[in-house]
Amino acid sequence: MKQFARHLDQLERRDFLAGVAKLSLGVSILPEFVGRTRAAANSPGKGAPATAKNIIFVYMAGGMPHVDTFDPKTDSEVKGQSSPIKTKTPGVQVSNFLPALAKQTDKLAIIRSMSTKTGDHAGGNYLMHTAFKRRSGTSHPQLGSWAQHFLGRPSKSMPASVIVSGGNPGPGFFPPDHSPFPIGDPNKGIRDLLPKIDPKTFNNRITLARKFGRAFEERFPTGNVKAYSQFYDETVKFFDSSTVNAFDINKEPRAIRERYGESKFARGLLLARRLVEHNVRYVEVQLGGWDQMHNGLEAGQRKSAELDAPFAALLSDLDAKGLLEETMVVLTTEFGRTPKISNRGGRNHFPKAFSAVLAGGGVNGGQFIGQTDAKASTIKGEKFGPEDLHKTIAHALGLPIDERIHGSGGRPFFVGNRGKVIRQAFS
Amino acid sequence: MRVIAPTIFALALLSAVVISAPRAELINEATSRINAAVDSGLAKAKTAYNVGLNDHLFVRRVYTDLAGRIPTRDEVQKFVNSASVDKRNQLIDRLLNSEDFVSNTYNWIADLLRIQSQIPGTKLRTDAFSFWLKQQLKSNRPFDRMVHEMVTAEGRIWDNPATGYHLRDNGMKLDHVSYMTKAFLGTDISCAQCHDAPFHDWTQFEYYELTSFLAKMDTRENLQKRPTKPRKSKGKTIPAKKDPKSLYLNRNQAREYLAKKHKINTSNEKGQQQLRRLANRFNRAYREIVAANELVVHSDPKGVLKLPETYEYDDAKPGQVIKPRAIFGSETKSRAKNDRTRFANWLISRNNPRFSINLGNRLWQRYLGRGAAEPLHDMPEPEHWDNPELVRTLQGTVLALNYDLRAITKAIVSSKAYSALASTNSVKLSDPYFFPGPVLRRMNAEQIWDSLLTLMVEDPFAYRRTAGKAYNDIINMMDTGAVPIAEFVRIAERYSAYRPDNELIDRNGKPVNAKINSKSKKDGEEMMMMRDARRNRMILARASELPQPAPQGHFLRDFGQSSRNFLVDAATLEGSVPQVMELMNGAATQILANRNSLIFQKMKAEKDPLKRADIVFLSILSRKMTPKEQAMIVQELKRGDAALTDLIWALLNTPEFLFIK
Repeated sequence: MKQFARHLDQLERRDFLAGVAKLSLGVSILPEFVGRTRAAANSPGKGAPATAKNIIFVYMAGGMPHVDTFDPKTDSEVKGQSSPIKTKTPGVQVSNFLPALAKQTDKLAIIRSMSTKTGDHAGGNYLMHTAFKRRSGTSHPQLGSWAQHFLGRPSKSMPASVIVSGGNPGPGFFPPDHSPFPIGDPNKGIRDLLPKIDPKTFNNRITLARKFGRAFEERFPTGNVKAYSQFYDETVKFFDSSTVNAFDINKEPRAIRERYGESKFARGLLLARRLVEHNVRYVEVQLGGWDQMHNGLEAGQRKSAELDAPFAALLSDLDAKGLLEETMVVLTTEFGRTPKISNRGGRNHFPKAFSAVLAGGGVNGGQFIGQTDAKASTIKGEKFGPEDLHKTIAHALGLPIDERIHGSGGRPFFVGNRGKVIRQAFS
Repeated sequence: MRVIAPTIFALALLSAVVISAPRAELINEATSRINAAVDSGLAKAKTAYNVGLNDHLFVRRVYTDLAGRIPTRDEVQKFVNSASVDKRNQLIDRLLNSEDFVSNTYNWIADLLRIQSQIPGTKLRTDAFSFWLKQQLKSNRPFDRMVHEMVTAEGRIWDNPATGYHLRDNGMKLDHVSYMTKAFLGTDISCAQCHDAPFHDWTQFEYYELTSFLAKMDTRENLQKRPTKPRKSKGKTIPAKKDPKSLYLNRNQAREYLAKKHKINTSNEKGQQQLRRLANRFNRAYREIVAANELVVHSDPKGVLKLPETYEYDDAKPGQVIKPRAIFGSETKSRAKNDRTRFANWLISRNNPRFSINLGNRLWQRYLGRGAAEPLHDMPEPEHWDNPELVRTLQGTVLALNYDLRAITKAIVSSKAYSALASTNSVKLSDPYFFPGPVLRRMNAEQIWDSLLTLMVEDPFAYRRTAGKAYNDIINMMDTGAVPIAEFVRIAERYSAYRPDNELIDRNGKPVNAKINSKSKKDGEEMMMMRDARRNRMILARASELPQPAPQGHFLRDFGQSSRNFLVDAATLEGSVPQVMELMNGAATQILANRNSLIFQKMKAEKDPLKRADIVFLSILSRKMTPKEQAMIVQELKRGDAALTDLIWALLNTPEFLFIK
């Protein structure tokens, strides 16, 4: 009997992956969010009331040094070239490398007690993006895909999640249409994807293709064939001017563009803001290069500067537009870097203690959660891992965090794995 | 032992495998038994076969399934116009002996073995392994022997390419075994890696027993042992000792050498910067070369496998050493002393029926779109098979034909089920299915890519990947052993200058890159198209000759080519928006719907616009227009020539192009 139950379970699961379910999940039955009112929308799942409607996930690839950013120390052995400075919030200090963010700490909940046991980039990156350890046989989805699974897509013409300058992570064990939509260059948006022929010819061709396709579609009315015709409809919609517009940061006023800055990362954040405004639920933007800290401390200062002003601009921009309330911004990394300076004069990988930051979307700013000792190397009190961070984000989105999903191999999975919601962030 | 490097086109020179008369008889018998098994399944389910395929549908299907691409217009016409009564049989034989079949079957194996162009975690290139597999397929090596050779292989990839199989999963033995059982035994034991699997029969202890066959296998050898310093002992000086195999280099000395070689003045910042750059580049090359040489499949007599410290069941203790045991089937007494040979013997033996069932089932799925036992990687017990007789018959076919992939394929594609139209309804995997015909399936990523290639270029096999000898010659340090710094720097320079793309060569052995780069007036439309394609980061070669797997964002990946990462059977036939974008606006479609395209050139010879449209239909859909379609086209042609490019575009964007009817 056990055998049989397993057999059925696996078959159902593969069916689920095989596109029949996709028709309802990805395309046709979409809980359309209406208007731009506050994110009070309860999720259709069994989650808590949502405090956030959108997520901007800002990822520091390569390992952001906590000491040089959000967990500065005065100890001469570890401080390197950075030192703590006062911020807008009494009692909360950040590194002097982050002067612009120091003025906005009232929006931030700084978690200084992040910790994992994974010290390699690929493994740490995977863990921080999925809340699961990398292992054979299973490819785990990222949070945007989880959210799409539970909540559908917020907009018919826009993807549910977008990843900017971060490759294409795929959908994990969800169907392919749950993949984040990858954007390589935020300055270009989706321009490269657009038809390179005039609209009249394009429309003419589409009409022709439909005419010639009809006989086949009628003869083979299978789910997979129908799925393709839906994808065509969707794609044509995607080429609609309003979508192209949503992806075009050049439509932003010059003053705004200048405030963010010109770097690819800055433009990525600007695009992220524009996308959440246009009903994309989950946007990830990456800033790479932190691993250069291996060779020297200067890299830490340089990368912090690349982070500081654009990230501060994002927060104030979201705030000014009234979007911060419904948009949770998350800043995190695969691990911290050794507080002690290495003999190469830099900082190495340090998963034992590092920092992450939350803002908006119901997060109570102006606080720090957890702390490390004077050497920034040991966490005092409760530790949090990637799974807790994921649970917290999922909770904010109102996802049913205790609902079991059967992924590949019939194994049970929960969004945010077995993590706990970091409640302090909301109070 | 050093294997003589195969000449570049050894593949092409091997004589075709001819199916002999007694063999043909065996295949016929196998087909009859398959027909009988399907017949009885259909009778029990009170259903009948779908209608048979007409010549147009048949030629398209066998080309797609055996050659991995749609037929050209000429190939369609030649077949349809042939009056031979035996023409289907002849076509199957011809395709089975084609280069296309090797390429197409390689794609299947590459997915099964999760082949990547570089050994994960290192930069070691695996061209030698891919090339070896293609050779095995070309020479029709029986599948069981191929597997046996990979499992027992020893050495480095350039000496024995079959080691590429174990090296693929180096450093993850437990995972490796679970991939192996999925790919070769259709059995998933991966849950038992961490705990007894609640819905599976395998315990964690058994998983370890099976893995223990590989306990003495090691995939790495430390080549970075530092020399010992001279020391005094009992008044005598013991001289410095260096392991003759060690590739250890003092990097400071290397740095000094680089400064001297490039005459760098290190007293100023500029010079220091320059030296840093040089040293960094050297160090990277050095690390990668050493790491590549460290990858070697060999036996470590002291190797043991212990239960994890977290083991929590009563039948054994955490940390206990586990002895190898075959956990299904039975192991016959074998004279093999080596555990790995014992394992390989058991794996492919008749006492382990899952091996032959798995191959029959996987090949059936490949050609009929669905396994006789699903899911493929974890076949259920016989009482849950829809048609046990069919599974058994397929297994019998594999055994009767001695794991001959061509013969088994022939037996399957000659069956009545294969020759019937695809089922017109959705078939859920959880619904029983008795094979009144194949299920309707989309072409896989490689088939679509290779089909577009067929429409683009005259000779889709113009370019192919070598066995990577040039690379191996640079990187192989084991024949020379430790070398002086100066020599190592020279090697590192050659290594840094090496371009893997140069391994893609034309029929004269000339790298395609060099050809694309050298602009010559003589170049025809095709070279211009190649350049055009490369601007879009596409190389117009068969999927089997491209990087394995293609990079993210490549056409092949968008259409579901396996990432060859954490899953066996990871390729998908699902649709997606990026696919549609590819077909609408991607480089391939742009090339085809362009006046320089091969298909457009072919049309030019024809004056009558309707005949031109006919060429488009035969080329893209392998059939003629229906009267209704013809009427539509007459209407369209009133707009002039543009209608024809629009027609090419439109047909590529119909489901009929993508799906195998």
